[in-house]
Amino acid sequence: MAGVLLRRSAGQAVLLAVAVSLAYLLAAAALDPRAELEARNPRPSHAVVEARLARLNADDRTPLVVRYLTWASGAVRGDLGRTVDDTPAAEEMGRRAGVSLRLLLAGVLLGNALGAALGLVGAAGRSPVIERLAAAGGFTVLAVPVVVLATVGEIAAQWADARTGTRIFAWTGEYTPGRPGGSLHAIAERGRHLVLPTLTIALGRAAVLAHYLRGTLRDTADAAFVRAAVAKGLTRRRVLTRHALRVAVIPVVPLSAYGCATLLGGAACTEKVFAWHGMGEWLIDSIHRGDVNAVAAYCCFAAIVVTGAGLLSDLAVAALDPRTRT
Amino acid sequence: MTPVRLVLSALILITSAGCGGTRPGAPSALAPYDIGPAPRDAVRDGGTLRLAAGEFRAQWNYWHLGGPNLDAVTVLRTTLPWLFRADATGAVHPNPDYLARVRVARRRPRQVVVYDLNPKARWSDGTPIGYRDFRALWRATRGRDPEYAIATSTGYDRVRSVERGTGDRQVVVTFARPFGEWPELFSPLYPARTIGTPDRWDHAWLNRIPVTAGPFRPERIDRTAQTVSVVRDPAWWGTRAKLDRIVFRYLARDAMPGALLGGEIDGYDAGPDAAAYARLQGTTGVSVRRAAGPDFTQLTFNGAGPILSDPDVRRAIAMAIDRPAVARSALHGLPGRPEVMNDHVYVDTQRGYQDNTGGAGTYDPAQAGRLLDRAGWARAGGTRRKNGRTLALRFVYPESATTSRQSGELIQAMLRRVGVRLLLHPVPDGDFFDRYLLPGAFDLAPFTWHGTPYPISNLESVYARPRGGAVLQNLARVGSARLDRTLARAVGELDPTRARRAANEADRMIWREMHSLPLYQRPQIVPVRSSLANWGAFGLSDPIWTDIGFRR
Repeated sequence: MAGVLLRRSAGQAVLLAVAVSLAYLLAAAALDPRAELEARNPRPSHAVVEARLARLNADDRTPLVVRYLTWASGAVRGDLGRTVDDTPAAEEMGRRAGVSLRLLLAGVLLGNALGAALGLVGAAGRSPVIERLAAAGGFTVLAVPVVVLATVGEIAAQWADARTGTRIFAWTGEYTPGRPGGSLHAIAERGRHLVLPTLTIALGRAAVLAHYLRGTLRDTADAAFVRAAVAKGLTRRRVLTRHALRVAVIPVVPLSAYGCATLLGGAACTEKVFAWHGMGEWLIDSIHRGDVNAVAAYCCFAAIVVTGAGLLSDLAVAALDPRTRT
Repeated sequence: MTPVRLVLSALILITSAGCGGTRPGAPSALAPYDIGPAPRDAVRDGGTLRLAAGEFRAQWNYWHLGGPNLDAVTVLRTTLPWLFRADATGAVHPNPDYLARVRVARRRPRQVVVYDLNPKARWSDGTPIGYRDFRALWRATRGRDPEYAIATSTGYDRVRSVERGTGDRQVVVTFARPFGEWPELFSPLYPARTIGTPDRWDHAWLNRIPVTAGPFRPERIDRTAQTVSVVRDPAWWGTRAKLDRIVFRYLARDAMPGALLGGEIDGYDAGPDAAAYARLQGTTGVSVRRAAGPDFTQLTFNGAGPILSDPDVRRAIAMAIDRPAVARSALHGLPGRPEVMNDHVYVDTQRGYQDNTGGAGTYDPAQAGRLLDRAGWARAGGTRRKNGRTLALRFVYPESATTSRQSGELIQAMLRRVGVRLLLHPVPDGDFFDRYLLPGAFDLAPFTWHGTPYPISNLESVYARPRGGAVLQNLARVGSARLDRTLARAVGELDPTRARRAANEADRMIWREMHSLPLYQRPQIVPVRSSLANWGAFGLSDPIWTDIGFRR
């Protein structure tokens, strides 16, 4: 088991290096920081633009390979270059990753739990009405853009606040700046700001997960061991939760892990609409600014997260599925 | 003009303009500004004002290449010396908090401006504001030393020397070439020791505001939450500020209306966003302040293109476009009477604005057809042809700009009537300027210019003839020696009345050569908490930060 994991890790480290290098080359080839600088109004002088590009290691007259080697030699030491703003990209990445993590953690956990519960309800097949409702709800959530979902949430929260006459919900940023209060107050303040984004993210996750889980559960429900358990007198619910779920969840684990990983870097819409300044927003803004180093730093982060998620899902599958433990 | 990405920021504004909404009441012309005015004693002492801001850059050196954008400049306006202040007509007046007296001491043989600084004016580190600060800024921004990453050298490149006058607090600025809009210079001012070397220029203001001299001083720059808060500065020598604290929060445009409704901010500039206007209009506790904005949208012709290089064809196209109809469509759902712009230099509410169209801006499809006939474009079936070429033009616009698309469709129908085919060509937002406008890969392109109280100093880069392949901002690529001379005269004219006259003379030539077709001035929509006084839609004017606050 340990040997397998070790070999996999080594393989993934190579994969990581290749992916990150390709990402840098793609960003450096596709983005045009010179054009962005020259399009500023008033237009900066030629010498100023040249000096800036040289400092950013983004001069399109330097061969791509040379730029890549400069970047890579820094990257292995943890120096990801400087953003167009002249800030170290690694520092900004750390800050943004923290924000994304705080925004998504609760949402992802809640979403997974909710997804599992809905999947079970759907597969239990007790009431076709509930089953249909769950399926329809899931598809609706998947079909509606995050911005709309968030706005509906805001309107509902506003209505609830108006009804109760207090301000329970807040939906702009991580906390309200410039408001005094102790650490306890600060925690409550952050919690208040988390409710709506968490719900928005959780609903999306839950909808995907429930859909897949319902499918795999139904397949498992026909398996011989399940029928045997039912024949021995166990209730259907007990069989599903105690025996079938463990098997049915195996194919869903990698899906969920990779889904969460991509979410960590790709929740741009949620971030924008709730004014959190995380990774997704950073990617979009950096592409707009032609910021090669920032985009490359983002890709490093995404590659690490996806690889990490792969490892975690392997571990989880190994724990769930005795056949993988050789 | 302020050194910000005017074109680009303007494009973002266009992008956000949606459709829908209803117009309340009878439309009337918009006021030049609307700020919920209240006398100082009607304003409560204290309170925190929270404003939404666009993206923050890390660099707080205004004159730096990576300097702050339009929204972040607001933070600097509360904390740094701005020597002049604009009123609603765009006329500028010395700010007595910093200037005891300022005058043009000599015009011949050289323009000399003498600044007498307010003796109380000092930096937050205790050093008095003086000629050294002026000199350091000029040395960096005059563009001689490429080590300094600067956004612009406009105006500073005309300065010959900055000297000490009768004392440290008198500054004598001598110009090598005259510069009419000299009040634009040296605002904001920075302490010499924070900008005196290229290294300090780059790094002293990176992610911090180390020294100030204004009614407020920075309290915290939070880069994680992207907020900046400033508090009342007890060392301020001018009128005491009403507010205790101002918090600027960076929000995506989509998040702003919700933030105002959720009580997280007290006001924001919605631009020409009809959807936000409809959503917030009529909400209790929220007032929507509106004024004629300083921006105007226009249609630039590519005068280097194979078809539009003929000025008669450009004129014909302009005449075939019903500008009032375009304005009505683009400004639908927004307050105010949609009016067309008839000036390239000044906006409607600005002193100096006048109708310079000379008939070129009047909708006259019959005359347009005659002009095209005369230019050799004969009607063959639906579309005109000449020497085997079809009269088809590319209308290039950023794909997310809904208003531009609507205007394009409208103009397409108008041009079809005179036998011109217009091909709508949406392009990725990020490529619009770099890959289409700058290299000249377009025939017609709509975009917005941002007006300022200093409209003349940048005219040359937009309307003077391109020199040596560098189009600068003259995207139409047309011009004439006579226009160049008139523009140079306007820029160098020290008498404001004569400068305005020269600028309008230049504008008449710009109309005649049909460089671009101004369409309409955009309204400024600023939803605020109703109790907020002396802040809102400022138009061309500058806020007086010490008077802003909440009503008692």
